[in-house]
Amino acid sequence: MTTTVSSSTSSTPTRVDTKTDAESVGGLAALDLLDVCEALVRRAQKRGATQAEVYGERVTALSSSLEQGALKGAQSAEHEAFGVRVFVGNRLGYASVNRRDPRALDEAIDDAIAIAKAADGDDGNDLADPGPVRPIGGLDDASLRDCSVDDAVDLAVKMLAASKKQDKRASVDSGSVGISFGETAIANSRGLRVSDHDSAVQWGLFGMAIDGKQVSSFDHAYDAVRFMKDVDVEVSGRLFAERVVALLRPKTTKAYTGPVIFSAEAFDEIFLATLLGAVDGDTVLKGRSRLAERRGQQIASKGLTIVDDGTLPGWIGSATFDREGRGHRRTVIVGDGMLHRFLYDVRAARRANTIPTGHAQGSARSLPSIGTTNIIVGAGSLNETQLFAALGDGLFVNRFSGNVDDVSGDFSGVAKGSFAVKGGKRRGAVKETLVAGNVFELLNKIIAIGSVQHRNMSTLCPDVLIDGVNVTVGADDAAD
Amino acid sequence: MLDLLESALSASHGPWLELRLHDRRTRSITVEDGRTESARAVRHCGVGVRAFVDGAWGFASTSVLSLPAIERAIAAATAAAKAAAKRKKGKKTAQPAAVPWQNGSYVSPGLEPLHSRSLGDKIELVMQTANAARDAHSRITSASATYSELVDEKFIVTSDGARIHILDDKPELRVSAVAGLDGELQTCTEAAGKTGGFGDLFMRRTAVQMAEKAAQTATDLLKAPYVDGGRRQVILAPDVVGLLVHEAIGHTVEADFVLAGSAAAGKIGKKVASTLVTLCDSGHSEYESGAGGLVLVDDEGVPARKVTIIERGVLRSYLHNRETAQHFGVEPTGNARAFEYDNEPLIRMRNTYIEPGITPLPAMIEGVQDGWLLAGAKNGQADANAEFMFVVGEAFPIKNGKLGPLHRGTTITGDAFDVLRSVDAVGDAFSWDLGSGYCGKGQPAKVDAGGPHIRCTATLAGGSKS
Repeated sequence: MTTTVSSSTSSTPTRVDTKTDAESVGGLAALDLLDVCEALVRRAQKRGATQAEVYGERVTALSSSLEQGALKGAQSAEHEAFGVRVFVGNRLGYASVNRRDPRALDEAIDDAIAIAKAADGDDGNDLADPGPVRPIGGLDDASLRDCSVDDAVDLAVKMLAASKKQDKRASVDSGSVGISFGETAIANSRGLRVSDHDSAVQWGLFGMAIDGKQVSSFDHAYDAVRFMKDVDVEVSGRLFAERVVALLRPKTTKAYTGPVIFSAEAFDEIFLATLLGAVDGDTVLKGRSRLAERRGQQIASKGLTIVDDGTLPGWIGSATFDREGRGHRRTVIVGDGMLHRFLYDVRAARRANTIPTGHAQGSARSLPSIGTTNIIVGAGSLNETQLFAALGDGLFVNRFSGNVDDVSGDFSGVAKGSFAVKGGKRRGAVKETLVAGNVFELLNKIIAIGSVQHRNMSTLCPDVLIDGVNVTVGADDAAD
Repeated sequence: MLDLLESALSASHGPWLELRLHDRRTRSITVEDGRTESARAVRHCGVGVRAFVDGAWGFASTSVLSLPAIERAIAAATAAAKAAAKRKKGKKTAQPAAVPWQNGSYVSPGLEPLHSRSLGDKIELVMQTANAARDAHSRITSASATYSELVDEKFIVTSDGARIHILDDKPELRVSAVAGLDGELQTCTEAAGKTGGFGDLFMRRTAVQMAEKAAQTATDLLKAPYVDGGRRQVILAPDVVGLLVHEAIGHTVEADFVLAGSAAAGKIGKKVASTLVTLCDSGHSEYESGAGGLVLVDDEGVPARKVTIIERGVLRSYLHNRETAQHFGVEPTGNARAFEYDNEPLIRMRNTYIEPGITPLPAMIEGVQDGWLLAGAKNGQADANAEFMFVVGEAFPIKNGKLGPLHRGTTITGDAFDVLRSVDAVGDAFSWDLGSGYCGKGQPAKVDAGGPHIRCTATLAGGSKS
């Protein structure tokens, strides 16, 4: 294959933006986000849509990046995008564009209508009705609007310094600090009009420890909060260093089938993600969920309780309304091991002849789909010492790098950043150690749940001790 | 558009600047269980600006394609670079290496332009594909298919002379089937992802053949036993070879990872693999056309050349952008890639592969006393210490040179260089087989990978019922 040098042009050439267009939606520049959404709904109906919804998002982001143990640079971005969902009869079309340019917006509306006309119909296609939306406090720190990239740079430098001070062997491959604030708005042809502001500061470090010729496995530390007053990047810097240094000089452990402690993060990656996918009302309807016929039944050991709650003030997963403009609520998904509820957006609820639960998620670039907000796994009774004692000899899986088949529940992967436990005490890091099992079977083999809940972004979860896990090791000369 | 960018550039007096206008149009159509589940068109268009000031980078972006908006983005990127430079201690970042520019238009080749097929034609293709999977076997409980396409136009202008125009199309078709029996569910996905035209998707097999394979494998997996884990001799199919070279080796030789201390650091010129192994990463599509990671010129405007990473077992080169090329004193390799206009270019792979050898697959199988043939690549990850993991969907036991029945998928791990040193046979047939995948490194990238079958030793995870 050779480089082609030609004078070819795109069939739909990129255009320089124009300020006005008499045939398009005029005067958009001066409108606020919600009014633009409402104007576009009217525009879509005028151009042939039976029903329409427009989702608008606007974000300002300031960030600073670290690379190879040093400050790399800083970034700033302003983003605005609109997602247009139209129905022509009961046929659905969707288009999005990231510019408040009249012609580009008209093109998106026409694209969405053309798609709807080409698609087949579905009586589940519907929009949300206007309903009560309760304001949630603690989602927006107005002071972040006064920040500059210098603030992001300062935080990144502090985080890096804290890591180096904790242990010089910690080597940061990459890291970042991001400050963002923005607005979300939704209007639809049913008369729904909602908008809200929010903000976040998020940061993280990723890398390894290097000690002479020894290179540890990768690990990370990250966090996110809504308010600048809650930012503590130095804690994450120290935690990152502690984590990677603990992974130096790993040893082979023993293969066995039996109990394993999964850290909150590993339990989230393997078990929560799969279970929450299986209670997605859309997955249930399509015959892709092993829990489809299990509502009201025991699906996990007693003691396991999982709650979704998008109404918690200040939490990263909270929002005043979902992707379709409906208010969030507290939903018990699993209570003491029993499956209570499936999660629905408007379309899945209509197909299932039930009510939406306010779990539509997505951005301007995507159609609404079902997703969770904040997830809280109830605490158990054993502190860390007691949990390790209950394990005796075995493996603590800190992170999981592998695959979970979200339909069958089969999982297998490498235990990363993990360590052996002997006589109830923590030993050294392990290498080439794999764990495997089936999520839906192992949820019924929970021995104990830790009493300390760890926050990981929008999830609050304790460590969990589970029996029946298959542990495989890489070397033939497996040692203690 | 080049004129617009050049006007913005000429109005700026100061730092090194790179302006990249990227207009991406994405379409995707999903059919599930006989009805259109979603169909959407997304346009994501804007200009990303990089500034380099006193050994630090600044980046800003705008979606407004006007001269004042681009000038504001230049000012923001410059201010960001200065803010970082002010706080940067110690060694400064190397300035971008000089490039002998080959300015012009770069158009990715393809059999049939994507816009030559109507939206209705594409919806019909997806409907037929999903229906073929659903109807292929009585155990199928759910079937879906998704067609998607990325249609890109880019313009790159730098203050040191680049004037580049790029047109590139990447279509993809994916079909999934779920089979059920007695409360148990199994799934299989088959996919093709190419650079080029609509017809490139079906060079090797038709959409219906992909659907039937997905349905048959999902059904067969319902009764398939689990793998018994441990260190084993394995034969890897081309798609799994693709995962191995991408995850296990490719990431460790990305020069930014090397500088952070990856396991490939300091190994140039050293023997790291069997002499049977020659491993490359290329912006072009060697051996078979349409590789999904085809990049004629990268997002710094550098021609994307073929890089021989390992030559007959010896490590020869890392993968570079302009910054790391300057640091190592070599030429940039054309590996700087940005997913969209508001992403900064990072060092990424393109099409990564092992060159074919001389051993036919049957002879490879005959040489295995107790091992596995692994196929159906899923996902994978690399680690700093060269430990890798990747997941396969299908495993076939080999006993005394004979291939056994399908077993469930598993995860493979090992030290990347140990595994490459253990290669004792390399197949004689080549294919790209990872073009429907994305690589994640803070931002996605379309990549491809492949090769011939290879025989080596690695560690497999045992299943829950082994």
